Amino acid sequence: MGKVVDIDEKDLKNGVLGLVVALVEIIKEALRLQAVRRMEGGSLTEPEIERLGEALMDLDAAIEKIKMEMGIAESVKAVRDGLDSVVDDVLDTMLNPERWVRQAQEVR
Amino acid sequence: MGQSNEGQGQSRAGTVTASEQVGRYVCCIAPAGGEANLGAIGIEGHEVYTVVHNGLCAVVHDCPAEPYQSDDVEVTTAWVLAHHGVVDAAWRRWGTVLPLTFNTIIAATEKSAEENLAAWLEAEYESLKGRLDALAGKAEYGVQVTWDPAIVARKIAETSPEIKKLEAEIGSQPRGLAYMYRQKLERSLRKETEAKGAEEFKDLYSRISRCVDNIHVEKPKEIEGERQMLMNLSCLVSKERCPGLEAELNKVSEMEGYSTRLVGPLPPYSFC
Repeated sequence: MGKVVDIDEKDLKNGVLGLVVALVEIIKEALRLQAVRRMEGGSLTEPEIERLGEALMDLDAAIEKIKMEMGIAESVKAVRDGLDSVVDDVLDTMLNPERWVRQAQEVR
Repeated sequence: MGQSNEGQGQSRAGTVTASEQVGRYVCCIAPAGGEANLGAIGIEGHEVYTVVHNGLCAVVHDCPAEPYQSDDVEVTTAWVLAHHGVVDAAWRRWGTVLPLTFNTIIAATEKSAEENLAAWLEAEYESLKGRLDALAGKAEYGVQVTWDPAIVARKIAETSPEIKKLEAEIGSQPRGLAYMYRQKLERSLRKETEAKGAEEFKDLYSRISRCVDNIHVEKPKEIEGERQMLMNLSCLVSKERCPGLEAELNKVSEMEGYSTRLVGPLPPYSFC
């Protein structure tokens, strides 16, 4: 065997777990948004809303527990901040074409 | 800058080589000033001097006839800082300058770089003079307004009837329902805060634009913590209007949850 790539096992575990939990959080938020929209739209009965609310609360608690036990709150935040700034840049370019053109000219 | 980025000419074809200082690096253009030497403040310590032609004054230093390029960030940072230092020095000296883009180099062709520079100043006279006149007596200022959305949201929650009603409902509900209604409340609060932000932006923009000569909206920067940058502007301001701008910004800072920052005067990089 040649040279082994040196990866810190703990770092790798934190990174992958952070990514997974960040994705779970994002899915949870999408679910919650859908739930609130349906509630607002009046298509849910009160017992259904109660059940949905409880399920989402349990999910919140479970995610927080995992983050705490695994010590990955930081790496989850880093993944989400990174995604946020990518989305920000894309949106900014679409919403402000004039500034984008000007900046491109300045770079030239 | 149109024709400012001259090519590399025939420096390699002729007898001269890139290592000789056959190019002229142009940092900025100043209005009619005398011949002057600004000292060894150019890129890599080159002597900076002026080339006066036809009532325009190019602030230049000798350089190789090819662009400054490096993969080393520290090296390029030092170059850009030197470029800025020259523009700044010229700006302090003459009051008005037209900063040129980094790496604006006039190379020698069959003519010398000096002759090409004079020809360029001649050809671009109207455009350069017009832009210099438009900048006379003016400086660039960075204006940043930040706010704390939590403070603003709290104020909205205190006054919005819809949100008050939601809050009252939540208190008496079982926990699943309370959670869902809390989500709904936060969503409306967030929407109202965003709407307030957009409204404030328009209001502040019109207040500030009344105090300045020209304005560019830049991308807000990320800041640490809870605060957010509501607006990030580059403003072109004449000297006599500056106190008015400061007074307006002071008024904004007095609003709860808001703060402002004024950076400048700077050479008019965003308006040339």
